[in-house]
Amino acid sequence: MFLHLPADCSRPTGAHAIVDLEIAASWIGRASLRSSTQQGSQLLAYSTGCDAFRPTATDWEDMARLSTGGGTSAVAASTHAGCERFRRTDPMVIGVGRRQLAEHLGFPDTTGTIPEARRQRANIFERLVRAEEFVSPLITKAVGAIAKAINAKDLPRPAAVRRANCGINRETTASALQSAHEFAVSENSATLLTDLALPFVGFEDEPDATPVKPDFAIVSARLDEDGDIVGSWLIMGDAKDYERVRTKIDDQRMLKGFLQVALGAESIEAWSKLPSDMKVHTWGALAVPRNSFLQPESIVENLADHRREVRARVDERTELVKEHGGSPVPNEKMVEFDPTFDPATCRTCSLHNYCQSQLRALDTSESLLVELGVRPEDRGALLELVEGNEAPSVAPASEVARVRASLLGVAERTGKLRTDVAGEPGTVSFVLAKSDNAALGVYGVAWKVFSPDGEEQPWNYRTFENSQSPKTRLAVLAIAGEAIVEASGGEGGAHPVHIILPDAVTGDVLASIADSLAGVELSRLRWEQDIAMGREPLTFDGEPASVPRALSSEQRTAVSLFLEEDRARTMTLRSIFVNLRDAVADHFVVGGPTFEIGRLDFLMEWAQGNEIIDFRALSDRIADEWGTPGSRLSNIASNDIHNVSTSGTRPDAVRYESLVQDALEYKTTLVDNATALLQEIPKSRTQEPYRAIEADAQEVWRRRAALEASDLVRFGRTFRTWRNDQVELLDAHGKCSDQLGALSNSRVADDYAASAGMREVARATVLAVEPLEIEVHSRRIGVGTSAILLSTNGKMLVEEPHVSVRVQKGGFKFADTCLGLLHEGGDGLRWDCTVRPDFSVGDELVIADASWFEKSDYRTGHEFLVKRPTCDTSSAPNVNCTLLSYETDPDEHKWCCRSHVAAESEWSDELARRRDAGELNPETWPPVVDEDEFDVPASGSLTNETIDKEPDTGSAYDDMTMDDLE
Amino acid sequence: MISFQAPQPDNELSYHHTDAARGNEEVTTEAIDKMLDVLRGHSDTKRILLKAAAGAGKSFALKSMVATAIDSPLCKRVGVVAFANKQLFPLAEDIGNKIGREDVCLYVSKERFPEVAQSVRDAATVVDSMANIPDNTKVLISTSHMIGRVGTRIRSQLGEANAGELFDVLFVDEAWQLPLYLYSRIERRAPLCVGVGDVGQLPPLDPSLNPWRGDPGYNPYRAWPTSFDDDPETWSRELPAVWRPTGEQLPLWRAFYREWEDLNCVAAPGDRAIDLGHLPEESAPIWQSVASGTPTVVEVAGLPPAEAADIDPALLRKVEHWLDELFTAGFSLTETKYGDDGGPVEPKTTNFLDIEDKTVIALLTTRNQAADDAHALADRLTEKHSLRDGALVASTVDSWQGQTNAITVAIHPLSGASQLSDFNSAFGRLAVTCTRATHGLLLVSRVGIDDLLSSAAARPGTPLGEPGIRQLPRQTHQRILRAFNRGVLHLE
Repeated sequence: MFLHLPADCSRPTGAHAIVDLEIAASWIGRASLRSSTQQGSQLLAYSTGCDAFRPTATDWEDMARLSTGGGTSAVAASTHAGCERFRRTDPMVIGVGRRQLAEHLGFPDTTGTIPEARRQRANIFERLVRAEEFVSPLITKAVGAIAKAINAKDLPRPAAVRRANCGINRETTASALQSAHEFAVSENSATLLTDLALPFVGFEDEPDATPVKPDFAIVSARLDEDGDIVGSWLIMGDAKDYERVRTKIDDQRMLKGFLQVALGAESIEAWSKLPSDMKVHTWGALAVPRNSFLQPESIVENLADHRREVRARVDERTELVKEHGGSPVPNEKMVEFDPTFDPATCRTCSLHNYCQSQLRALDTSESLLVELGVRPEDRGALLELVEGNEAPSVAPASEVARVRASLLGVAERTGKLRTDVAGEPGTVSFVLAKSDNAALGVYGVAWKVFSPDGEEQPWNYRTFENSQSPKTRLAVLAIAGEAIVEASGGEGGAHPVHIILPDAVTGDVLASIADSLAGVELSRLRWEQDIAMGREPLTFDGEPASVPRALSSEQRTAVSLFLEEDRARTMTLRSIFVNLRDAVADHFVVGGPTFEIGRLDFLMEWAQGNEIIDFRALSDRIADEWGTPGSRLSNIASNDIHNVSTSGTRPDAVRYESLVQDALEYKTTLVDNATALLQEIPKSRTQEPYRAIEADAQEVWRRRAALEASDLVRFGRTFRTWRNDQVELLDAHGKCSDQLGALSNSRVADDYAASAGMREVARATVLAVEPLEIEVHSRRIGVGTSAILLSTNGKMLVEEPHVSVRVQKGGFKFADTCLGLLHEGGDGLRWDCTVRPDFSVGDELVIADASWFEKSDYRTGHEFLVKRPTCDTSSAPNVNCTLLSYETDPDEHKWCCRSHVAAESEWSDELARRRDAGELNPETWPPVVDEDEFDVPASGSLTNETIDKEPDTGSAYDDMTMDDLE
Repeated sequence: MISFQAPQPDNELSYHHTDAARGNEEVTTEAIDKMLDVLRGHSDTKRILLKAAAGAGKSFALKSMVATAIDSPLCKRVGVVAFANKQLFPLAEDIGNKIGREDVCLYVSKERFPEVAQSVRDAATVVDSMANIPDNTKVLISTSHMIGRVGTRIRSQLGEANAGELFDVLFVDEAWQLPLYLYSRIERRAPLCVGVGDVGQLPPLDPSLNPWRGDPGYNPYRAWPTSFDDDPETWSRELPAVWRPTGEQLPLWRAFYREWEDLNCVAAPGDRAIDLGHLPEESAPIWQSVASGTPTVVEVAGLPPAEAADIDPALLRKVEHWLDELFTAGFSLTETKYGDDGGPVEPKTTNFLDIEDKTVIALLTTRNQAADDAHALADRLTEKHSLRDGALVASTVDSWQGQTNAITVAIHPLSGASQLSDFNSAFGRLAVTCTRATHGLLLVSRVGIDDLLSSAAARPGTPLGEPGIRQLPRQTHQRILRAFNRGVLHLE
């Protein structure tokens, strides 16, 4: 709900609010082409000149004295529903925005503001939603999806579509609704209304109240049981430029979007100007980007519960307004109510800094726990610790350690030895600076290869002129591909490769770019077949396609490996991407709020242990840092770089290059420091098994890549039988991962021992040494069980010098371990072990049932085997497959080494057959869903790059927080 | 003292006794007709799905269909499978008793063979090796794993049925517990598959562990029938009546099976009763509310703080105290028996000490620590009141799935919570908790459920892309709670 001028308003005068859409014809059936002149004449009656009804954002501020906050306010209210201070500082209640209030209180908002590049992206997306070429697909796909979801017989396929711009004006919206209703009733036609303005529900009689401003709504015909048109449906909508991470938008974001749609639905249903036979549909539509070019698609959802949710918040606010509303001047009384502080979620509120400072000033045990983000239900047990006593045993161990570290200012070592491979041969360290103005935009990258021969390169840096260009994405993966080849040992090299990253988001961006390029490449293969067969290359929706160039060998290598990583993301033992933050966190428990601990720079300050840490000072320092460890930039760095970039207001190539370099250097320094720190930690005996599992899997990947067979498939595109095969693989990985974790990590072993759901691991105490007797704290492990020692007083058995591990074909064999049968003893259970460490009475042990492992009855009596999981060989070439195998014997090799060229050509022919049969979009009804979701815009279609630049209206975002956008 | 706020009235029309039972009978008859149509080659249907609510008497429908299929000359052999052995044993006994021991074979693994009760062996031929399956078996009962693994070999041994496969019809009991990847291994064993089950069962895998959750495409862990909702070759109906609950519990059942067109209850209000002995002042109103048959939630105010999120001995001590008082006062269960048509025969009252054929009270928990505490509690009370084994049972909800008991006592998942989470908003698990009892349901919580439900941040429900209607956790909790008699006990 933003106040931007629509693209068509840049025309001088005489632009009409209603636009007839010839382009729509293909979507509504070839028989229903209509004359645009005919429609245009009908609509002039209520359309007015652009300038006359388009107040700017500032105008609105001046005009409206009762700020409802519009639709986003309901979303924010739901997000911060538990905070009394948030509820009572609602702009509707106090008469000013929270950001102004924070300023007045002396604690300006520094956490919730929106970077300018991010504003630009939101702005561009909304304009794309309004663009004429997307009106027809948005309407038809939303109407079709709802009709299909509920098998609605009362929602017919529209015979024609058009768009009406309501200009964020109530009167225009009212007349546009009436006209759209008539259009629907008389001609079974649908209208996309954009830029609506509706009185906020319950405030219709308050002329000063700011309106709700849905980005769009759809009006379509409503049928009775006999199929006759009896009125119209209004499907409320809104636009949100949510980012797709590995093709998915997370559900929490989608929820917020639909809550906003729901407020629009509540408001319009309560409005007296709603035409009498127009009904507000229970379902709503959210326009989100369907690709990295920000082209929109509509997702539909049942709004019943969403409407109840926003209604409850609206009622709450309305009550408060009645009670306290109208105070025009900020004062301290406005914030005297109890806040519910959560360092993770409160950052999007403009009062975050104020509340945090208050908490710090309180300086009580309880306030410290709140500031650290300890959950309310865990605070009782941790208060003892803050007050200088021992924490009770029921307190969660990880929280006890975090609070203790916060109090002492010193990180605790977990005692775990190293299993990661950072800084070792066969690795590529990779960082990137992501731009906020595009989902896959990259300002620059830096990389460093450690080749298998032990040669470590210096960091290489590269800055990209246009962060959002597809060429940049190709360049990023060309760099990555070249580095991967070097880390493998050069062309033909087969050394396993690991990509070392400072955070998980960097990996998500790389995998998302790989998926985008894979979609382009696979589309190319289909279109090449179209051309070869004399067909016009078309997109899934039947629009003309422009055939891209093939990926280079390096690009394809990177795309292939990163998609391998994507498919492997649920296999817990795979490690193509090594997240340095997680690797460091494995070895240190640090203090401070969990939110901050997610940053590698925060973690490193603790881990390096150069001084006693004041977590508050460190938090503040990190929050003020210009640089960030991960791919996302700080707000200030984002603004600095964006402004001097080609998309910014003051382009300056030299300054741009220098700033991007600064951003990258912050990250590379951190990666170097973290890698060096990890290398000081001794290696675990389980590192070899972990590496062997990844090496096995990469062998299969290399066969896929070499024969270009099923390697450009992301996790979400694996097919039915492949997924069935993965189920057992995931189980095998899960079990092996549990076992290696319990053997090498005391925290994992302790957690398993404490979990009643984990029958195979238990705590035990040494009662006597000769003969060895232990008390086992488990009902499931007892007399007759063969038990294996995992740890003694937190020290892992497999890391002891006398224990060895051998990597075998079928598993990992540990020898000289403490293993034996439990017998009836004197006070406890007698434990007969062939090999055993020196125990003392009172030692706390963690033991496992030996039958949990693959084999433990070796004659030696001291060995056991952890089963090695098999690889994902579904649809993968086997060792004997060659480039000619499929061609020579297609039946035999259909499911192993059939190349993408062959597979996509066949699919291209099938799609052509379906298109000829009228089974594809836009002919078919309801529209079919493109499950491939390839990142390919139609030839010449409007994208984030080609849409006209429009200045940021600025002030529209000034009162917004990230709650409004994300 | 505690006072109760009555549940919100359910304004929907309700049918009971024969009027309710008739609905299930009609749907079963329709399903049988459809099955015979397929056997005759008059229909292309490949799957028949009978969706049941908890306690709908779906086994009756399954047995009728198996018996009818076997009676037909068009059908040589049928298979009956389920995910777990424990579901198959009672089914084998029932089907064997209905059809005859010589026609029914239960094939189990060597490991599980000793666990098969004598009553099952008396009713059906029980074998632990493929070679021992009698050649003339008409109904072969086994787990989905077993048929998936060795179905082809069994076909080679027994020969093809009429339709050229191992079976002419394959029945899947508790179909909504069977994941797609296992179904894919058995679906080709017969040209027609009949799935019967409670749609409110827990999903085959904890949703948080399912990597394909929210993926609109093929999800190998999803309950297989959900993939065929819109399939033109699938014939699907809801069984519109439930036999298990009291008439007073029907609105709660409707809250869980919200999208059902029709849901009625064979038991009418007042058909079942719990006659209580003299109870002390604190617990009397609580047990009176439970005894009324209306689902009851009691929130307790004034407890000392809990030690941690899921460790609440103070609340469990309260529950133990109330149960202790109930057992001390004594109680009887009155139950109306019904004919097959749902018509009431006559009521019968039994003292709780004399009930031998079912669990009297089930104490259900979800968290590990709470499960251990509840076991200890049940052991103490069993000893103190000399209860027979199995009269008072403590169990996790997941393991109690599919079981029936007279009275359920459980901790409400929102007790002590500070926010809505995947765990405390797992409505499948809550449905299993709330739908086990034939006489009374008591959920207990620390005070504050309404506060939590008004102040917790909104969170998404079932992910987009999953089948079915999506609801938000806050509103779903509120809807379910509206079917309860609710009271708050303020401790001194």
